[in-house]
Amino acid sequence: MDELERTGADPVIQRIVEALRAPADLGTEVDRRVLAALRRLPVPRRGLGQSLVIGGLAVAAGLGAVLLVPGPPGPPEGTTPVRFVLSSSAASRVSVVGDFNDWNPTGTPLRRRGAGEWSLTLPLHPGRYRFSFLLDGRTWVSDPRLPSAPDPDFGAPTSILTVEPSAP
Amino acid sequence: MEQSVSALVLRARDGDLDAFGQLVTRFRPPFSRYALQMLGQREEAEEALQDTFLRAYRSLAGCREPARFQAWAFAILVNRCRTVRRQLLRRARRHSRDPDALDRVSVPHPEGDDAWREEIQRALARLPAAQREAFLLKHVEGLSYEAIAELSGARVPALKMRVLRACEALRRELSGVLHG
Repeated sequence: MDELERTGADPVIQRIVEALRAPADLGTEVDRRVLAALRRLPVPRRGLGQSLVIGGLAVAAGLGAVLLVPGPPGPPEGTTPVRFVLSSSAASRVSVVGDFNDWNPTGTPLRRRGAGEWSLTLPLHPGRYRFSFLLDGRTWVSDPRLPSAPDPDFGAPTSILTVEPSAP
Repeated sequence: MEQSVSALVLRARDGDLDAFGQLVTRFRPPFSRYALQMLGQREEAEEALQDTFLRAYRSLAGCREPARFQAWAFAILVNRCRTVRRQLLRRARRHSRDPDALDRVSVPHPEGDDAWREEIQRALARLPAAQREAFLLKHVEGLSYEAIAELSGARVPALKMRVLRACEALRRELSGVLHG
């Protein structure tokens, strides 16, 4: 056990942890609401995604970028395909992490397309999203072309992506 | 007879909402505790919990090990709490000149009137969110640093430092209450 982990053996901390481990329950109303929402879910329909392109992008080494691109046939209705691109020959794995995947650091990996080129296309509903790229599970990289927002809680640099509604 | 978690997950994957309902009922209490302690406000904790279960249902195909549903869904909860926390901060900034006021709110504990618990909740709410998250995951939920790193994307040394800082702050704030 190292110095930092010994902190947990402190009697004051032990009393605090004991109290915090006491059961706390938000109640069965949560169950009812969850199931009611699931029963209301429409059967997903599939249609053509809206094609929007922001071109003229030069991606420097280690930098990420986002493009709204023509998607493959069949993205979910009401979404726009958004391509996340990152160039890094040093990274062995890259993921995109943001509001759209609940800031899950491992849930949305980019695919390596060639020498140091990583990309992934996601269908996103119109809205404003904060996101960042995560390299090798430890280095956060924002998209320098997009507005940035400091993360007041967890310290990662984040970019702001706005997805407009698709044209009818 | 109570069905195994794996069996319920497999049934839910096939669209059986009753099976998913049993999973919600089973894991609501431990998830409630984390959401309440992380967010400090009942309404927001309920929102995070409901979103977690809805997203878990929609993503069940991604739960590769049905027996580990609890750990898989808990990861969704941790991230939902982060997102809800960010939304709270944004709201606080719009309505207050003092965004840190969010960290000083009095947090009622669902267990009620125990003064010691209330003091703990207040001290916990005053911790920076990253420290609170690391402390709760390590000491209350009992996760390893490696598991927390996998969940949060932070490195183990940084997590250890957050837990240390959280312990120092809690001890500073609560030693007097405990011995006084």
